[in-house]
Amino acid sequence: MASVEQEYPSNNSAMVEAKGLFKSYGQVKALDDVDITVASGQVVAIVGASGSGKSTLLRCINYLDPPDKGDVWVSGHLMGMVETVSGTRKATEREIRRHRADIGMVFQHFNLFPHFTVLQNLIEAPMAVRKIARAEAVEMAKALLASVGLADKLDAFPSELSGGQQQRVAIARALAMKPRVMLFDEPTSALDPELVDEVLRVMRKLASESMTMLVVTHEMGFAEDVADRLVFFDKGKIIEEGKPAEVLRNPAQPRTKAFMQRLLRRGQ
Amino acid sequence: MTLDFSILGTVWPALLRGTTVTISLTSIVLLCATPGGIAVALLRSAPSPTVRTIVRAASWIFRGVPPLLLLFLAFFGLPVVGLTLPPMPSAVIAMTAYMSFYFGEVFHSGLQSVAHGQWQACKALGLSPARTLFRIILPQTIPAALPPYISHATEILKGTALAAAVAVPELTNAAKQVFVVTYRPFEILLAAGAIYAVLDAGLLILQLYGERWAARRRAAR
Repeated sequence: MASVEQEYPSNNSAMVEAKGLFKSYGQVKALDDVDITVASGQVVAIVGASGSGKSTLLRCINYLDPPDKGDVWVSGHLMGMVETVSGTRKATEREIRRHRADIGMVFQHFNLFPHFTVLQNLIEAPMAVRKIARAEAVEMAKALLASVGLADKLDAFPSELSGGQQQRVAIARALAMKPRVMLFDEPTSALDPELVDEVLRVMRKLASESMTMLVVTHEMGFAEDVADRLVFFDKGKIIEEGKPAEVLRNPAQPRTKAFMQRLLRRGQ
Repeated sequence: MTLDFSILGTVWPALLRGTTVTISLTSIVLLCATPGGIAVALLRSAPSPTVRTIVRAASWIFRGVPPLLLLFLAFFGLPVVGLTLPPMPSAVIAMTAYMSFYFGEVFHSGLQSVAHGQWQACKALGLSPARTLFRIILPQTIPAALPPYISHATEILKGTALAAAVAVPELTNAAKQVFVVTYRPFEILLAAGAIYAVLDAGLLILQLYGERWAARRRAAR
């Protein structure tokens, strides 16, 4: 298709840049003027109490839930808009879908397709959205499954896998779309404690391969080891950010301090 | 009086023709009312409250009136507005109309049973709404929807007998045609009943296969 469309330029080379994001659900301000910039290859840990707006930020970035106000650029493209020869216009649903497909997302509850085998879960979107030939999609899926340590689970159904294995399949499924950014929404929160590490290992590996990642998490050890930056959410605002070790050890804000202490008391 | 099933040796061609009509009518209504039911289910969760209300009202009416009345309406009523149909098409229209709303209820609760996260995952992967519905969501309604679906399909099968009232030559009608001339209603009606039972069994086998299909594919958690 010869659609005349080009990247909408932002003022820097950030992989993800969000400016002035607002999002309300009824009376609740989930995002209240949030700015965030993530450079290519950076890993940002997003921390805060539940309901503080962390997940909403991810959902606004990939336009799963478009913000009420504010702009999001992903890889230089302004989400929700299309630049044509005649000027900028609102993107159609189909165009938004195409842009969203460049952004991988991993959910707390995995959301694998239960009626598909692991292989089918991985090849569905590349074939349907990217129009990749089946043979090629299968090859890519096999390679991805090997990289998350599940090469032998190709023909298993999700119900036959442990939670940790399911989440690793979900990560592979997102990677099969060759995303530029990966969004993780509490990827280990639904897992039994002994299954958390296998998922974090896959995420560490991904970070070491320079994937740009935004990770909503309560795993402070992971945040400290892997994240380049930690941002702390409270009531829809980012109230503190910085090097993970510094924010974790020496929080400047009383709210951050209180949250960290609660986490520590829970033995994390 | 003693039963004498040898009469079946004479009348079986008529019963066979009736069986063929019963099977065709059941299949055609299933083929039309299934997509009809999916459409009703989707409209029941349409964004517009007006659409939702209209569909619920229509569902209440079509499931509330006797099927025979709808059959009469299609066969005797539609000609008044200029649409005269042969018996079979008018039976198809009447039965599809009310079965679509029964199936609509089945698929509606089936859709409710699919986790919201499934739609989210499809959206995040960039799948189109149509692909999401037909490849991902609807197949997952099978475990919840299959038993009521099959029981309604059985209702369709049995309900085809009503079409005798508008002269569709289905099995019950055929049985009646031959027993009024042979004076062996008991044997002939027993034979027709046995044929219905066999056809019902066919639907139940379909259900067993469906349940086996769904067993490994149950929602993971």
